[in-house]
Amino acid sequence: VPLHSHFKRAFIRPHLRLIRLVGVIVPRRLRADWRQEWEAELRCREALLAEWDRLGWRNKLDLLWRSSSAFWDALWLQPKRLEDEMFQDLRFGLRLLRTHKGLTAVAVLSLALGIGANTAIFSLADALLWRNLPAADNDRLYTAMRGNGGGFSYRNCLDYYDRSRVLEGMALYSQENLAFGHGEKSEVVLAESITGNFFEVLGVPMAQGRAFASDEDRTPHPVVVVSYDFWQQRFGGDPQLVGKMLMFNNQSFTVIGVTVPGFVGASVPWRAEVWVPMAMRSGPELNERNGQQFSAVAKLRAGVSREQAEAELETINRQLQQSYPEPDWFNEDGGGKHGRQVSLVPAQGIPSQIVRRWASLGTGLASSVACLVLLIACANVANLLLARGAARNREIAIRLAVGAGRLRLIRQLLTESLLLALAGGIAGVLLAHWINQLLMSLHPPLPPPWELKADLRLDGRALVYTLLLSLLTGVIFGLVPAWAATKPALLSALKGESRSSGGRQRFALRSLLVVTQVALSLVLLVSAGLFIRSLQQLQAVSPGYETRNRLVMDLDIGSLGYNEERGRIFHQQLLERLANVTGISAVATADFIPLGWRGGGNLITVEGDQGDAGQPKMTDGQRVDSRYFEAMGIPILRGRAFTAADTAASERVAIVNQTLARRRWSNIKDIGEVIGKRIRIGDQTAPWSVIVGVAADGKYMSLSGPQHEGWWVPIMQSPTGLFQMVVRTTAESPDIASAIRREVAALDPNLPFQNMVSLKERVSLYLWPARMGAGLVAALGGLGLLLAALGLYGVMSYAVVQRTREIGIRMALGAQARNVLGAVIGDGMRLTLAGIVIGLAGAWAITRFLASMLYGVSARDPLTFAGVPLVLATVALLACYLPARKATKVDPLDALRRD
Amino acid sequence: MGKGFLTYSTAVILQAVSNGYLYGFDIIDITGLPGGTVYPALRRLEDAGYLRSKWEEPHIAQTEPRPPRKYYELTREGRDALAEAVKRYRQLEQTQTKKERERKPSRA
Repeated sequence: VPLHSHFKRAFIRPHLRLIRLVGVIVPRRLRADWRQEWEAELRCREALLAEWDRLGWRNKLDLLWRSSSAFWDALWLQPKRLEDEMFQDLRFGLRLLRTHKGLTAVAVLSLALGIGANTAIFSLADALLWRNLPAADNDRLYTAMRGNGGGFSYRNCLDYYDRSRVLEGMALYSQENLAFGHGEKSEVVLAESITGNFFEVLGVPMAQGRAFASDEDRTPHPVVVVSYDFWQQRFGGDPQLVGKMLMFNNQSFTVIGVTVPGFVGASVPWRAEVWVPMAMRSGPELNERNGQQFSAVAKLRAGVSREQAEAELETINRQLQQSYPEPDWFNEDGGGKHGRQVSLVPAQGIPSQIVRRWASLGTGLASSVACLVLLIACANVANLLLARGAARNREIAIRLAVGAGRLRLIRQLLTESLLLALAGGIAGVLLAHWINQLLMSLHPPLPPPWELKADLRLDGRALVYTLLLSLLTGVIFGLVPAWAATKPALLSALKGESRSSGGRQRFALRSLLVVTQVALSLVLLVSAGLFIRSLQQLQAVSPGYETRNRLVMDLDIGSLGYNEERGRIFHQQLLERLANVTGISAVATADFIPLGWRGGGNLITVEGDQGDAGQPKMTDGQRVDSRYFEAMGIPILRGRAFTAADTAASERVAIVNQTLARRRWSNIKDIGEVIGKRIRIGDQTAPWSVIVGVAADGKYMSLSGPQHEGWWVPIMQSPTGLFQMVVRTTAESPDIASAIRREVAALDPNLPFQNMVSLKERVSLYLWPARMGAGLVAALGGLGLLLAALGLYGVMSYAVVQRTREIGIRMALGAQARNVLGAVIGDGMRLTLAGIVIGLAGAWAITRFLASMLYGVSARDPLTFAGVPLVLATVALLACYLPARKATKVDPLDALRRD
Repeated sequence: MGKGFLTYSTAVILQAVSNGYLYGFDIIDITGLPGGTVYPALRRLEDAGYLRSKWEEPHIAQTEPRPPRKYYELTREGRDALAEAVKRYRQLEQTQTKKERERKPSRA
């Protein structure tokens, strides 16, 4: 039988065909041998079993079965392929990166900056938004809220839990300050007051002792669970701590448990140190139905979907609203007239929706900016690789000419760029660690124990993110140069000519990359400009009171169990003592000082028919003592300030601000006319107060935003347990602060000193987001500009080398140095101009997303849009000037002799 | 493959080659191991230097007619490794029979 007919039949037989097929995945070097070995075996077996056509189906199946094991064999040979080709590529790539040290360093550095910034911001966003609570069964845990991020009242929560069939548990918590007394001193710690089932719902075990029993929040039990860190840091991990008594708010609590390490409560990004039962709260708020001060975390039963649970909770919500109608004003801000809807969101990151919105806005902005920087870095590296592709033209042409496949070459070049990207990624992780430290140190200036302590980790998730990002960037910046490099005009490249058509194309590509870089960095710089302008505007805002030489502090005597009478005496004595301290010119107290952390307000109703303006409306207000206006430096424009004669026994009086006077009495000519008129502060049962003065407007709850209405009443006419004190000093010195501490300690050594800061520092808290935004975007924008300038410089230098011969001819024909200078700079500036035009269009489109973050400046601020391109053009001019000057140094004779 | 102990199935394959079953399919038949085990084992044994492969003379193949088959031979290292493995597995076998012997009286 002729051989060829055998081969023909070989393709018909399924087992042989399978071997052909599987052979495709065997490494090429081994393929022929491999196929032959299997084919020979199969056919030998076939011969033994007699001719194929006469074989029974059982034997045929046996042959097929045997041939199928060839697949496993082929799979086992795969590592050899990796060894062969990949390691070859890797070795070659590494050698190249080592030999071109300068290029490697620049590329790795720019990638590291881009990747590092992205990784750091990823770990920030992860900590703030996406990380699960350190709890069991996370997939069933949800943050429950009503309306626009509102919480629940204690009574309602109990009803939800009792009536619901979808909930395995629903726990409430709220943060509060506790004065922790140890020895002579006392300090403030952050506590969560929680329902008894809190640890059970979260599934958090105790390292020591036990958690609360679920009935321990129904009646007051003075028991406390402390965090692992609290136990370690303050008691050195004392094994006898459980069962001991600790003093919180001047009351002794029995320690019943210590949480496992790593658990810091549910209120990310704050860290709770102790947990106390909710029933230990004083005051009527536990019985209120209309409250919304408690955050809720709900655990669904297994198998219940979020939608089912939401639907059922909403039904209960409706029932509760019918049984206990809420006042209209309660729903003004979020829920509308129909009340707040219940919704569930996965319990990840920050539970408070307001803080979460800020955090996602901030991290969203930061990550967009970081992505832009990474893109600029990618363009830069692509540019460098294109330049090196030109230098390797000859090598690649030779490899192509001797038969290397183009895909194989592209793979080789991509391996090199992936190596660069991975090196950039590794350096980026190191950088991210450092950037994380920086981010931690830039936390907003909140007073203890409220410092934000985001737990930034470069954990597995962050590393996987970095790895993926590196691989992606490697492909992004590597593919185009690899494609371009493997398409040289063979003949001219082999002859060593540099002015080939491939070179021209590559130059076009490089120009395109530079235009992109310029455009992207312009977008960044315009954003930076807008943020800086916004910060300037915000810094220029006058808060309506003096911020220099003012110290502000919290005194929480209510939490120490002071009653009204004791509180009044304490207050009186403290003012007397402080008045004698040298350096203090005025002391005043208020239930809160503006631009703090808390706010106050109440319903205001105007007496007489004022139309809509007279209707009850929530308005910012404060309870202050008689020297408040003097101490804060708020001018009284009409009428008088409060005096010592305004006491609980005298007529109820109030002072309003200009805005309130103008808005509520629309028909007055002068704000002084409101003096003597009456307003009611509170609900229908509250008494009327006579207006005795009009004070200047000010900023109470935020620096930006419109001017709010405001009112003041004497603190003696409505006492409060928690008050703040403002001290007007003649100079800012630490001596005065310690003198104040001494005086307070002399009155009550257990009173913790909370948040003594200067008013200026407090105002700076409100400037913090703007300052951060401006700083971050400006820093990264500057980085982008630097990278773009480097890119431009690289391309222009390359162009000069490419055109050496042409420049030489021109100079030989009489062109002057300035003609050459002009020509090169002109080319560079044309690219810059194209980038600026595209970038301006991009910025015009994008900056409107920034509008909500800007204050006092339009998202299309003409000054920024005109100024930034000028700055960029100046830098570009410099970047072009250097290669242009080099072009003028070309020696015509030398240039003509080349090639 | 390092110089560690051979697994049982690898030792069996080596033993089969040493007994004169030189071709892949013959080894599969005599050991009863699946092809997906035998072939990768052969590759690893060859990489480790315990086996060496050769193509049979073309004139044998032409008479059939088919491509020449590949056959495997033991190297010196392979023979040593096999001897050691056999020794070890025999010891193992002895411990088993010894145990059985000890158990027998109690059963009686």
